Amino acid sequence: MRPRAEASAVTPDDVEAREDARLLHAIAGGDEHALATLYHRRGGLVFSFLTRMLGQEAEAQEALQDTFIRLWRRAKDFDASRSSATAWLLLFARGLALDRLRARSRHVAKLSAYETEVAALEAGWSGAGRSQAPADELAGSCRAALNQLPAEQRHALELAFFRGWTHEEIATTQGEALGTVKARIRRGLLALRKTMKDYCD
Amino acid sequence: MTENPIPIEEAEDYLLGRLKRAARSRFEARLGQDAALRRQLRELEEGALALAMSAPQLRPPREAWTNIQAAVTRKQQCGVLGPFLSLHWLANGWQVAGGLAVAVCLHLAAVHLSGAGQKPGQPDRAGQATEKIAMVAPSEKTRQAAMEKQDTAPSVAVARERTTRSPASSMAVAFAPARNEACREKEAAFAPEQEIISNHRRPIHGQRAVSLAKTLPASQTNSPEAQAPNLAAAQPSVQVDYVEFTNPVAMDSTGTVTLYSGIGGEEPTMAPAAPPIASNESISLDAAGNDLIVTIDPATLPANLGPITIWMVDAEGDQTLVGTVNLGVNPVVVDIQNADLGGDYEYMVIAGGTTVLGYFPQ
Repeated sequence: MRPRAEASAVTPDDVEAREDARLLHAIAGGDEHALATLYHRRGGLVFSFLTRMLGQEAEAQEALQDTFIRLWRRAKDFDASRSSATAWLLLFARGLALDRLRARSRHVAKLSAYETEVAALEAGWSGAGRSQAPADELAGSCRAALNQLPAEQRHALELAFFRGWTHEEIATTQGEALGTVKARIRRGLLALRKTMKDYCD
Repeated sequence: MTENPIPIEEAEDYLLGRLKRAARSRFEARLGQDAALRRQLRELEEGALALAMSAPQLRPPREAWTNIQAAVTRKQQCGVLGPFLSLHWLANGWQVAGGLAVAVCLHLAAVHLSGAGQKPGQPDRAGQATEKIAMVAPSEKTRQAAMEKQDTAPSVAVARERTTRSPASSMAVAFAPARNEACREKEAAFAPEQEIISNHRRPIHGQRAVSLAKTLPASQTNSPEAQAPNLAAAQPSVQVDYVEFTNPVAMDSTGTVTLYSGIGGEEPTMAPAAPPIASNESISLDAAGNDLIVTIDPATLPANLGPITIWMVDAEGDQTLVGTVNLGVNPVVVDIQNADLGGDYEYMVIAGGTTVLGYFPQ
């Protein structure tokens, strides 16, 4: 065994991820302080993400509250062997936001709807009038990586992830083959993933 | 090797721990045999994380945490086991004494009720203490029943009543929270204007198939048979700390309603700023006693409440969405078929974060 070598391989992000995981386990055990700590650490990220998805800060706030209140009972579902705590938390929040998007209205897979959604997503980047937090370096890198993607790829990725469009719906509106859309989204995710890994390394 | 990418929904459900036991086993079996699938899952997770992080960074409003904290505190106070599992109460001797007193009272109440000849598991509001104790460790059979229920995707169809409902047809029924009085007093002290309903725990007797279906004529909902004697007495409007938009349904121009599949069995979540409602809606049994008739008049509700959701609460305290109706201008009558009201399920109708109706079996 080489504990020192193993210890040196642990990055700050690993430590952060472990701390998030520890907090989720503590929340599952009924620790209110752990919930407060997790909110303090990740509330901003979740809120930013939900605002991006829902487009309105008021609704994002409700979704944020939903997320952490539900988390109080659902933290036990987290399994560190399946995913990282942060990803789990964000996907958890995403599920609630998608429910809200669906409750608003059921979108019809038409070109006009596609264009409307893309325009809304583009407008959402500005963040004008919002209480923006200090720019985070990793977030900036991720955004830059996303913006470097070809427009069609970026739009497909964002519609699928932020708006809950299915691959089939995106393919229909774009007149593309389903396989093409799936490949675009996958390549986009890979590009973003590489950005994150590069940053963490 | 996996030739096609995994469905993103399935992968997400797996990562979130939402897959049912059988589906999770299948998925993990695939993961164990398929390195490409494992890689795709990791790509999905990390890519999604990066995508989420690309959003402009914002500060959440201060009141968000205040609301979360308040809701969690209420849950803590009203949980069946929460105060006893936590050791914080040991820090205060008076609380210890109070806790012991409550425990003795609960025990005496349980002994009294069991001596009164109550059948085990029989739903009876007077027997809450006994039932709560029973729910601490639900049997495997009960757990299985709950899991089976979650696997049942209700088919939903809703039609709107076009005629104006006569005032007499709206039986003003709200609901009676099936909580112990001590808990309700705590809630009242916390928020006098609010009353909270959640986590009603009752035993399950088998699996229920629930569907929303036909529009009923007002005459039927107004019939004496429809007005079951075991409905809760009318109460002032109350507000709950839960509302949920999971599995919403959308109605098209033909009145057909589509139920989104996916997440089921999730408990409703909080809508803290919902206004109280002075409701004169109705919820009643049909003539045969099998169906639940829900009548909702949008004219009596505040504007912009959003969709109405109808929830079924099972013995685990989990609340399953039966269906969602987007409010228009006309009264809506919903027949929840095969609601099996002889059993133990409770129903709540929630609009805009406020429970406007509730059915609780006696």
